[in-house]
Amino acid sequence: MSVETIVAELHRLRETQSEREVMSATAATSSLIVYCDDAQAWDGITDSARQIAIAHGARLLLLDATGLNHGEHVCAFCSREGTDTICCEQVTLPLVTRDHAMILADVEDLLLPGLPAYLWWSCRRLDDGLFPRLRALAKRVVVDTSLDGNGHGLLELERALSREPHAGLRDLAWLRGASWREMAARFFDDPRRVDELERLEKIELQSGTPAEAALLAAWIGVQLGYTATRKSRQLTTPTGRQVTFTYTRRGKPGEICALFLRVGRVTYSAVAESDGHVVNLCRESPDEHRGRCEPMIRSSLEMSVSEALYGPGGDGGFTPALGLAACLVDS
Amino acid sequence: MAGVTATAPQVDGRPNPLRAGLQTTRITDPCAIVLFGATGDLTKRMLMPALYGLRQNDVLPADFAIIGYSRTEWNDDQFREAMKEGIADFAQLGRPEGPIWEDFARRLSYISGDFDDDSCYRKLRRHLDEVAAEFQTGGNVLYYLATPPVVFAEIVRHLDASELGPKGTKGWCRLVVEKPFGTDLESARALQREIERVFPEKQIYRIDHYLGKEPVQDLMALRFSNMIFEPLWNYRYVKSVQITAAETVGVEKRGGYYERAGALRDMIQNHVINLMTLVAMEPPVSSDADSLRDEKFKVLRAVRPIPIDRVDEFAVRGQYGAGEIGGQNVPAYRDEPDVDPHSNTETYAALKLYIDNWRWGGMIPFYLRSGKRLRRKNSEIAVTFRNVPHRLFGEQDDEFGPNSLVAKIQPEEGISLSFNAKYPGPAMHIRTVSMDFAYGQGFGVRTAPAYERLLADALRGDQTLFTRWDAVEAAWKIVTPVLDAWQKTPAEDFPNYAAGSQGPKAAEELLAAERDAWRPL
Repeated sequence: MSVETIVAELHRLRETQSEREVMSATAATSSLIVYCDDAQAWDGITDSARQIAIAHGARLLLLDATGLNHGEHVCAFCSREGTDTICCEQVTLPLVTRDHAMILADVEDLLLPGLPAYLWWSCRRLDDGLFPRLRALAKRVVVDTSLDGNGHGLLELERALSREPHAGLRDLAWLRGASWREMAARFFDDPRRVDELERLEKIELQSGTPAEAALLAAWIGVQLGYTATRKSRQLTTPTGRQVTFTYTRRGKPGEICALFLRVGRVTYSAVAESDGHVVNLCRESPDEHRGRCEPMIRSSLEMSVSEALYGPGGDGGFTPALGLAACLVDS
Repeated sequence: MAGVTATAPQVDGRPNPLRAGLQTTRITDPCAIVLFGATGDLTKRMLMPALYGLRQNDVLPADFAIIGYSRTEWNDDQFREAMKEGIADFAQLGRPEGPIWEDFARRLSYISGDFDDDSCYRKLRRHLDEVAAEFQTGGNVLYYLATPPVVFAEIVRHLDASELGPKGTKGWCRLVVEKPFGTDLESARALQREIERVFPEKQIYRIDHYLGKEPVQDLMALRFSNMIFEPLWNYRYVKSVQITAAETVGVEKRGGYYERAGALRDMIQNHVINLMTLVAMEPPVSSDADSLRDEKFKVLRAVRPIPIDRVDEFAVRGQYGAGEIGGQNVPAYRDEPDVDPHSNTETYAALKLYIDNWRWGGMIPFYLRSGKRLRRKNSEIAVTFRNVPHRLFGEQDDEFGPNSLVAKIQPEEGISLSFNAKYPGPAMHIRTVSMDFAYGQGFGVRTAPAYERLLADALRGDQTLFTRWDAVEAAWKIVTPVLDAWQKTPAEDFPNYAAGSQGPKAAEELLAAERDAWRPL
């Protein structure tokens, strides 16, 4: 199906819906490009993408690199909110039969003219040649450095950001860590504990994949002025002391399940309960064991992507943390 | 709820370095929250669900305790059980259970006591000391008056006498006061004198839950973060402003209270006039609490007083008779429990106000209405712009009107802008269409209930969304001529609107005199 045919089909859909008075509001504030190469994740990604498109009034362009779809598919999907029906357009393009130039040309032709485009790159490979070309079309881009399972996504993302520091890149692995950064900070809200940060010896993390663990450890390092050298899991404090980072693979991919900060004989621990909605915080020393539970604020996939692409502006902590995290995984 | 950059707790000038730049909504100060009127409906339906919502969303500080205080003879466990039921029924968070609920419940305790008994306040004082030791509340305390208004002053006097007020408290000490603040100008002033003797204005939080609703706050964002509206926001381009707070419910179990209040006191004097100030005010010089409240107060000062001998030209009252709502027959107001069968209390009130200042020139009507048992539940602010000076397009029978901007407050939350567009086809037919923004879906994020937002603000010490005394006093001054006139002259036509209708006919006539009409409910 040519782009002209797709555009004509979109037009026909609008006309039909309008005649039936189904399409009381046609969403047209942006284009959302979604690239996915994981057949197992395809259904979940497309469901989430549709919800985001409805919420933000976007034309949805699904780029299928999984091989699941063999032909182009054009449709409108609607959501009823109270008395209003909101409809969005969706175009699915199978990529297996297209080269990069063709994909790019088709996508460009299908973007809503004069409106911003957003890219959700749901693919483990950030070094794919198509990525920078689609990135160039988008106002903001969200990736997930946890997807590759080995942390190399962090290195690729760091390279991409160093080439284009203003590319509007966001990382779901970083966003998912927000609650954990809050928990880590919470240990030291008690003014009596602040000094212990200067004697921090070890940062231990347990998570399903290394990217989110490295990002959390790196964030702690950045906040404390640490540096790191490549191919080492050591962080260096401003006074030259070494702080060890250890990572244990445990739990679901992309999710942190425990953080331990060790200061001499004192251990601060934050351990998620199995349902992931509660974290047990504890400070343990030879003469004290003080613990409490805290709610873990977790966002759904669509809320995280939505926040990354359409939410308020950037997060200044991300870029320096990414630099340090890349050093930690580059070994 | 907006994220804020946390202020890191400090000791000897050393802040928590992990807090730097971290966006958080969490309240950092530990505290105890004392709820007076803890067995009442407000606590069960609103306050406790809001507090639990704040806990679930990780907004409450790590160290907190909640103490219920009321006359009912309950123990801690009975209080916890009742609050658990309230949360399950009204919090929309599912049934409270698991470790977060268990931790929350452990922090709930209850004191049974009269509001006028010194010994009960001494008991409260001892209990606050115990709670401070057990939960490290740091001596900070927030008192919430969720009682009938008649005991507000009594409670404050006893707090002072028992050294539970600001003078006797180690940390900060704040007072949240529910509406109504007085029943008329004089009683409001008397109450204020009692409270300000104990609590400085900076520690008093007069709550109006309408101000905690997202669309109300968004009205400020809409006006002052967009260039396109503000140049039009004046007497040259605005034709009228309508503010509606319509309910389908009757007085329910509040007949006794409502008999003494009525729609003017219960809704217009506080909620609706507060909304009017947000529409009419000038841009504040900054976003701090007093800058905003200064501008709101200026609006109230500029409202043209209603002449007591011409009240009927500016105000309409109504009372519902029997009728039908949602296919159900409902009784007349005078047949409701605890209501005088010859009651003269208004269940509907409408005002037409003018603002004598540079922006509004004293020529733009602000129509305010509120009523019970109306056709539809609807709270909104509608700004209607003037018509185009010359009708260039459109056929004779085309129905198109002036542009209007509507901030929907409840049950829907959002913004709607209507404008005129060409109907597709060869002829130049014009039709009014609308652009809608709905909060429920617009950002794909949860919007916090108003009480959650306002409780969090009070715990943070942010008074922006709370009403300052000068504004309360000025609002009472606006409605005083109407209250006086209505009191002197009982309504002869009550009941004058049927339950489930648009309201009394006289309200339509109020606007017809200006060649205007109410937006249909």
